[in-house]
Amino acid sequence: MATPSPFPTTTPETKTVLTPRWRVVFLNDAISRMTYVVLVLRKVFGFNETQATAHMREAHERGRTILWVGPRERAEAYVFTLRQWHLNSILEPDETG
Amino acid sequence: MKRVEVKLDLTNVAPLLDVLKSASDALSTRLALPLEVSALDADSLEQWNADLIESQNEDIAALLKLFNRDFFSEEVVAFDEDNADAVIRACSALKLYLFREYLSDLSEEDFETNEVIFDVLTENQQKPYLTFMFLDTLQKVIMRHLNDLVVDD
Repeated sequence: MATPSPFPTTTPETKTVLTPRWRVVFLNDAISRMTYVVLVLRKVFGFNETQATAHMREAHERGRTILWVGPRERAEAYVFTLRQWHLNSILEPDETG
Repeated sequence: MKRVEVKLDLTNVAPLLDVLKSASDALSTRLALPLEVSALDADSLEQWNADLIESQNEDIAALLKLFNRDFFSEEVVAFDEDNADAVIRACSALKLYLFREYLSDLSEEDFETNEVIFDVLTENQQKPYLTFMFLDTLQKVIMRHLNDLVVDD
């Protein structure tokens, strides 16, 4: 018979804590040329022409488009950069995750 | 280094420089696009506002630098990878300011189709409108000719 261990047995339990995710949302504006918006989205997010154009069109037709979802710090950096390019963008919590 | 020189007509552009200068003065302490990001706390908003104004001022300074003494003698402005980004951002800032201050009663479609009828503009709107269109054209020229500098594929 095995000698009982003097230490309490523990069962390791793994919990995944999800970091809250944030959205970078671009809001359509009346002034920026479509070509300008596409150019900035390609430059800031590395989108190809098709992706950037799709986002631009969505913003134009629906008033907004979600450009990126992820950790807050990086989302803030994207919004700041878009605002340096004078594109109206906001940060909002992603409630789908 | 790729460089693009644009020949401008001094008699057409010179009258617009006053509008550019007064717009840049107005924007020296405020953003062309007001900062409305409700997810930021008050301290962050204040810091972002200051940093964005500083960035905006640097860009507008790069644009105004194009219209230096050489421009008045040679009537040429030049763009390259060192100033292209700053100048197209400055064009956007100044266009936003001119639109909000003088042209907001015009429709979005008017701008998209370039079908604004100049004669219907009030006297106070005419020079800002011409300046807006000048900046818009300048921006398009840079994007068209320096696209490979502006977007790194």
